[in-house]
Parts: sequence; structure tokens; C-alpha cells
Amino acid sequence: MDPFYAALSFYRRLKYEECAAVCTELLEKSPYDQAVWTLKMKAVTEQVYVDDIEAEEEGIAEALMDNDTMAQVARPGTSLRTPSTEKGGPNQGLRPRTQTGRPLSGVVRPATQSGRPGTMEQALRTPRTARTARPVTSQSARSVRLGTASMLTESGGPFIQLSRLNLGKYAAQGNIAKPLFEYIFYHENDIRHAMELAVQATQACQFKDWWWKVQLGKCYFTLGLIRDAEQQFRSALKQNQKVEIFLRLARVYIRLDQPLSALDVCKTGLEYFPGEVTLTTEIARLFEGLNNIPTSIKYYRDVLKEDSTHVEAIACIGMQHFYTDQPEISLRFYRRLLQMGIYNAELFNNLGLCCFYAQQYDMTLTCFEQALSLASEEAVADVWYNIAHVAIGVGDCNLAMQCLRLCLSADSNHASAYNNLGMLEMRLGHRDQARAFFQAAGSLAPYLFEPHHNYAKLAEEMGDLQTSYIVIQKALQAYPSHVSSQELLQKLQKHFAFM
Amino acid sequence: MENVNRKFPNNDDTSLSPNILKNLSMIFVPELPLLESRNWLIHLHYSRQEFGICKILLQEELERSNDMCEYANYVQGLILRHEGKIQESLESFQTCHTLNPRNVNNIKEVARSLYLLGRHGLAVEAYLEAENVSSKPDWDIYHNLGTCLLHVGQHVKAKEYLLTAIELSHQEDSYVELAKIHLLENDIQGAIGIYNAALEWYPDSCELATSLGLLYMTTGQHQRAFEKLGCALARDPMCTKALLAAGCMMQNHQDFDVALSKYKIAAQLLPESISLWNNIGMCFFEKKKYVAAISCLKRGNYLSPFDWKTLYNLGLVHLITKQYASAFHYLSAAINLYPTSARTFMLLAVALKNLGDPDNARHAFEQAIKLDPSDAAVALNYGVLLNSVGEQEKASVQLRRFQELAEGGPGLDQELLEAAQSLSLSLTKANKSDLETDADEKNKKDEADDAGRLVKAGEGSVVAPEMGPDEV
Amino acid sequence: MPEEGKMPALKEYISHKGFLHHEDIPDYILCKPRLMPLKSVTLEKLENMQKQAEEKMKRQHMNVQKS
Repeated sequence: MDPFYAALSFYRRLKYEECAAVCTELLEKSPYDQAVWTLKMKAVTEQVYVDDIEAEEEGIAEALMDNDTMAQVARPGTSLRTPSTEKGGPNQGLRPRTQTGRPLSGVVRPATQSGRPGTMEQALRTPRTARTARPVTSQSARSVRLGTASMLTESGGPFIQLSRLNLGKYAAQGNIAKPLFEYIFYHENDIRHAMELAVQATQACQFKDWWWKVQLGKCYFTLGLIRDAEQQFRSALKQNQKVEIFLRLARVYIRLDQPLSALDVCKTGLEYFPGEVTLTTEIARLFEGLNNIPTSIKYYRDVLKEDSTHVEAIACIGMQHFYTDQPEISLRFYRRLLQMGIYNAELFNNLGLCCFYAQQYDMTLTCFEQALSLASEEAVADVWYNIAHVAIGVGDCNLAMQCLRLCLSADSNHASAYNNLGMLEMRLGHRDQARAFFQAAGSLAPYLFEPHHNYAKLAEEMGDLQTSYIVIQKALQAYPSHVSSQELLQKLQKHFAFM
Repeated sequence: MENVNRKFPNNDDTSLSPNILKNLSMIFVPELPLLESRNWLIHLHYSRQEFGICKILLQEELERSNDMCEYANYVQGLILRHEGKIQESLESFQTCHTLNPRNVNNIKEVARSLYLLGRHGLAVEAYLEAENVSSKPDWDIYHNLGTCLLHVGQHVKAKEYLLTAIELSHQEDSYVELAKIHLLENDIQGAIGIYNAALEWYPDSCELATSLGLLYMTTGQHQRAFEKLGCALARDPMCTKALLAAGCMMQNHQDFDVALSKYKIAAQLLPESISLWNNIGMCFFEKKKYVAAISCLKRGNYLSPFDWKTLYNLGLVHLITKQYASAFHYLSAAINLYPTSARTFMLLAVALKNLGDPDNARHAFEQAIKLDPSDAAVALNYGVLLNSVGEQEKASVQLRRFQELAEGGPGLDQELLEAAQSLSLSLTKANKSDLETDADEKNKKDEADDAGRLVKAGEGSVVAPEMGPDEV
Repeated sequence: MPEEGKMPALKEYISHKGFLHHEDIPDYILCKPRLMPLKSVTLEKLENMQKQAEEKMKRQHMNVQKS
């Protein structure tokens, strides 16, 4: 078989490494064969391609030193960075919060939209565990790191020397320019050269090609020039309406913290592409970011009508049902995921919890055992924490304590575990230990109201009204409408404001 | 101050010019700026709660007076306390005290700060000192003395002081504290008396009326409880404590719709209260809406997994709906958390029996009897169990126990009596057939004996004993 | 022995009176069970890529050390 044909065949069969190997051989024989060169570029790019619409992650630097955001103090319901009050759905007493102050979400996505850190100190205080870490550097720097990672996969040095490349020559040739751009953008992660190429190519086709506008927009976006990116995407949209452009434009608005504009864009997109799953998902995510869970769930259901195997939608709806007292329905959703072939610790953990609360006691422990065997180091802590809950549900406090201790040995910063351990110690009457645990939990996770409330209550019972007064205010900061905390505060204020 | 430090003018010019006269007057009448000149301003800002400006003023005053301005220190102490910095506020008040030891207020504030820090012993001493210094009896001092002594554990003295406080000035807080002491000593009647007295002075207080209503409920005086709770709700229809108590009363009197209406109002104000969800669940249960009952109870359980009463109720509902495995789960959890409830063991035993485990059911019944030998239902159900496994004699024993307890105890449920009747019927039938069986067996035994004697007598003769018609 | 089947199985008496709460005594609050968010496909791929790159670097580093 003609080796070039063989290489093409490898590429079509997604065997990128073999394809690249064959191409390298061919290039050694005839280094100026453009077709082989292009094919190798494409093969090598595909190996490292990651859907960058999904993979966007905002670093701390970008969040803090942000020139583009419009409102310092946004009106409620118009900002993704300041979680607004709930609009229906389970409140904090029923559904746990994450570090960002938002309720627990069904799916972990790379893009984390968290509260805006006010000062550099606060920004640096974000914990560095693998789950919740945010890169300190900006996004472009992270792409560079990904680029260096990909370069390690090559033996014999990089196959294209970008500095020596004559970009102008290739910009005019459409069929080489496009793969070359993708290679530079995704594989080398050299945004500067990529942008040069894109600029020249756009000029070469006299601004008529929407594809180059989109690529230019991507470059601007990665470099942090958001407004320019917006311009490019809008101009591309005028020429040709594609789902990708709508999505990228929506992302631009999300980056600018204008969720309502992003919603508009997505809804416009839906007019052109009715029922399009990615756009509907984006809308659902936006509503979740705005803390409007019921609407978010409505859109996820629309997604499921179109695509009944959409993992994110199933997971989010399942979680919502669990926290609104419908564990049986939640179980059905998670079982569906199992049937689809997803087989990891998180799913089994969720199945175990749903089985327990739906009173299917035979399945509960097997699910948890499976979860434990599949769990990575970080996930194990959460699994033990939930097993402790099962133990409490059965009334076996010793087992619960052991499980919580195992959880803490896996993750010594698990605030909820400290809080629950404190409660168990209280039941045994060890007040000082309980106090220590509550204090630890409260300092590790100031966004959780439970440890603050418990600490304040314990302090008040022990007579230390000063600590109680200070701490209960923290609890109310985390969860302002909590009745128990409000009552405690009123009681204390009588002492403190007494003249 | 600077005027006093002015030096004398030169003695060169001896003529008494007007300038010199002026200078002389300035020398001989020094101006002393008052330490307390801006107290009124500080007070103004403090009462308007403009703490920011007040703090700036205080800073200035304290610098000016070298920390000797008593009022400035006092107000600073108050503001620090308001911000929650008790230790610093204590220091401010101690400064005041050293500046002016005869001022009772200073001592009182020191004592109060000590109390807020949890140092009750020292607080007591401080208050006693205040009492000595004070020229007239002060309600505040006696009330706080009572409270501190209560924390230290000296109930008798605490009560004395509180009574003195009440005599001096009938304050609601003092009554409440006094009632608290009585309740700690399990003197419910005394507490009721105190609340009644308090209500004479404060007939509009929702808190007092509700507390009194609850006490009446615990002593079984339902009519009075109902009155008091009604009063409380009339004053404040949103008083959650009263709503919950009233709903509970209605439930006890089988009036579930009214109870639910009360709970509905309360649920808006207390969305995460386990007591509320538990009671609502039981209302639905009595109205035979089992699914609603289970979901309310499960929500309560989710909010507060350590509450054994909710677990008991969940077990009960599942038992009635014949979901014995779930019932077993909830009841065993309830027992793990609270092992001294006979009724829980009884229900557990029933669940075990229906799950086909009569041995453990028996153990559970034994335990229930140990915990509460006077519960008639336990005896009856044990009898039913024993009857079903064929131990009729023991069943009869239990039935007799039931009859004794039923006569001695309060009025019983119709169902209970019916169940008892059917048990006794079945036992008598069993007894009759037992007697027949016994007679049969006795006959067989006699025949066998005879046969045996025959065999022994006629050794060698192979005569098989005749078998009875129902022998195998 | 007479058969049990002749008589209907006796039912126990179960009181319908559950336990009620008279008062709402605020208690300590437990943190609730946490369902774990699933990881999206992209995130898994990213993590895999990073892990592979790290392993490669480690191997190279070890090779350099050996030689």
C-alpha cells in the first residue's frame, strides 16, 4: 500500500501515533512534501486536542486583576461572581455548599466560577488541593504549560521550528494555513505566532472567511483581550451562524461576568439551532451559576429530551432530586448513568447514598464497597464521610466515628467531617474535644454555617458569651436566614447591648 | 494648661500699661479645662449609635486626659462590649473603677463583663461588692447575682436573690430566671406559680403564656394549657413556640386538621425544624395519608438524624404499612440511640416476628418487659407471639398479666381489648384441644405400658402392641 | 397437635400514637451527606494528559539520574 494512503488510513482510524510515525518517515525521504507535512500536523494536533470550550479555567490572576468587569457591586441576579439569594430549591440547611458559596453541583467542570476575591490575600487563600485548586497564573501561562507538556511527547525535537517559519507564505494557502494554525494553537500553544498567522490569513482572504475571525477571536480570548474577542465573534456571527460561534461568544460574556448577555446569546443561538444540546446545556449552567436551580433543572430536562445520554444533565437532575427528598427518583437517574457504562467512585458513592435514603438497604453497602475500591486518594475521603452518615442513620455512633476518622486521615482538611465528629463527641459528653473540632471545622471552611452555629451554641452553654457572640455572626454571614442562629444572636444581644 | 506655664514678663517696664494688667490677670486666674467637658457629646453620639464618630471622640478625650476621663472610659467599655471584645471592655471598666471606686455603675459593668467572659465566680464577688457600695437596693444587682449563682450551682442563694430582685422591681427576666431554677429542681408546680405571678404583671407576654401553657401540658392540665396557648396566639399569631405547642395539643386531642393549619403557619417561619416535621408527619399518619407521613418524617430525620422519636415514628408507620424490613431498620436505629424505651422494643419485636424471626422477637419482648413492666400492650403482644409459636402456656401467663395490668391502668383502646379477646379465645380453643390431646396421649401411654407389661410377662411371645388410630 | 391453620393468624395491637415534640429545642446541626459531583469527560482527559506528562518527566529525570 502507498505509505501516504496508509498514513491517511491511520488518521481516519484515529491512530494518531502510527500516522505521525509514518509521516515522519515519509518526510525524511522528501522533506518538502506539503501533503505529508499537513497530515502529520493534523495527526499530532489531534493527539493533544482538548475541547477548549469546555476546558477554560480562570486563574487567580485573571480574577483579581480584571479590567473588563463592569460592575464592582452587581445587582442581584446579574453576576456570576456574587452568588445571589436562592430562588426556590433547597436551601443551605438541606444541600451542602461548596467553597464558592454555591450549592453542590452535579458535575465538576474545569471552568470554576467562584466568588471574586477582594484582595490578593483572599485570592491566595484558596486551598491548593487538586480538586479545588485554581492556577495562580493566568490562562495563557497555563496553555503554555500544556504546550510544554505536549512537546515532551516528541522525540528528536520539535518538528516545526516556528521562529523560522514564513507565516506570510502559508497564510495565503488556505488548505495549509488552517491545519498549521491549529497545530500552533493547540500543540505548540504559542498564541503569539498563531495570532500572527491568523491576522495574515484574515487579511489574505479579505475578511470574508468566518473561520479565521473565530480563530482570531480565540487568540484574543486566550490573551485576555476579551472585548476584541467579542468583536471578532460578533463579526463572524454576522457572516455565518454556527453553534461554536454562539458558544464562544457566550463564554466571552461569562468571562466579562455578564451572565444575562450570555443567556441572550444562547437563546439567539437556539433560535437558529432549535433543540441544540450544547446551547441548552450552557443555559442550564448559567442558571446554576446564578443560583436559580429550578430553572437550571428545567433546561437540563430539555437537554435530556434531545439527548438522553447526556451525563451532565442526568447527574445534575439526579442531585437535585436527592436534595429535595426524592431519593428514589435520584436513584433511577444514577442507575441510568451506571447502565451507560460510567464506572467510577463518585457514581457508586452517589448510588450508595441514594439506595440508603430510598430504603434499599441490601444495595447500599455493596455500592459503597465498590466506591471505596475505585476511589482515588482525594475521593476516598468523601466516600468515608458518606459511609459515616449511613452509620449515623443506623444509630451506630462508634462506626460513624471510625469512618469519620478514616475520612480525616485521607483528607485532613475535610471541614464537614470535623463538624460531625464534634457532634458525635458532644453526644458522648466530651465538650472540650467537641469544641476543638467545631473550631477546626469553622476555620477550615468559613462558608459552612453548621460548625459556626455549633461552636456558638456550645460556647453559650459553657458560658463563654464573647466567643459565642462573635462566632454566631459568622454563621449568619454564611446563612443569613437560619432561624436557630438568629434566635441565638437575639438571645446574646440582650446581654451585650444592655446598657 | 499652657496659660499657667506662661513665664512672668520681664521686669524692665514698670509702668502699669493695659497690656501688663491683662497679662497679670491671665497669670492669676488660670483656666482649667474641664475633664468632662465633652461628655454630653460622647453621650449624644453613643445614644444615636454613631459608634464611629463616638470612637474618634473617645480617642481624643482619652489622649487629652491621659486616660483619666471616667466617662470616656465607660463609654469605650460599652462600645467594645457591643463589638464583642469583652476582655478589652473589662479593662476599660476596671480603669473606671480605679478612677472612681464609689460609682456603683462601674462595679456593675466590671461584674457584667466577667459574667460575659464566663468567669462566674469572680462575677459573683464583684456583684457582692457592688451591693455593698450601692446606696440603695438595686434590682439589677440582685438579678445578676441570682443568674451568676445559678451558673455556679448555688440554687438556694440564687433563688433568694432573684426573689429580692422581683420584690424590688417586677421584671419579666427575673421571673423567667426564677422559674428556670425551679424547673432545674423539677419543681413544676413552683414554676407554674411563678409564671402565673409574672403573667399578672405582664399579661401581654407571648413568651410567658407559651411557657406556662407548655408546663400545664406536662402536668396534664390540658384545659388550662389550651387557654394559655390560645392567649399567646391571640397576642402574636406568628409565635412559633405557641404554634407548635398548640398544634401538639390539638394532635393529642385527635383534632388533626386544626393542628395541620397551625403547623402550616409555623412551617413558613421554621422551615428546618425537626419538631415541626415530625409532628406534621404524625398528623398525616393519623389521617391515614401514609406516603405524606413518610416523606415528612424522612425529611425530619434527614435534618436531625440523632432524634430517636422521629426514628420511632418512621418505624411505626412502616410497621403499619407492612414494610417490615424498613421498620426493623428504623426501630433498631432508634434503639441504638435511645436504648431505654419499652415501646420501641415492643415494636421491634413485632417487626421481627413478621420478618420470621421469633427468637429475637422474644428477646425484644423480654427487654421491653424489663424496661416497663406496667405496659399492658407489651404483655398482650408478647402473648400473641407466644401463641403463634405454640407456647400456649406462656401465652396464657402473659394474657393473665395483661388482664391484671388492664384493670389497674388507665382506660384502654377498643382495638386493644378486641385483640385481647381474640387471643383469649384462641388460647381457650387451644387449651381445649390440648386437653383432648393430653387425654389421647395418656391413653396411648397406658396402652403402651400395658403392652410393655404383657411383653415382659409373656417373654418370647411376639405380640406387637396395638397401635392407636392416629399414631404413626 | 391441632393445626394452627384452622384459626386465623392473630394480629398484634399497635398503638397509633407516635411520639410528638412539644417544643422546638434547637439542637446542634450535622453537616449533610455529600453527593459527589461527577467529572466531565474533558476534565478527565485533561487530568490524564497532565498525569502522563508528569510520568514522562519523572522517567526522563530518572534516566538522567541513572546515567
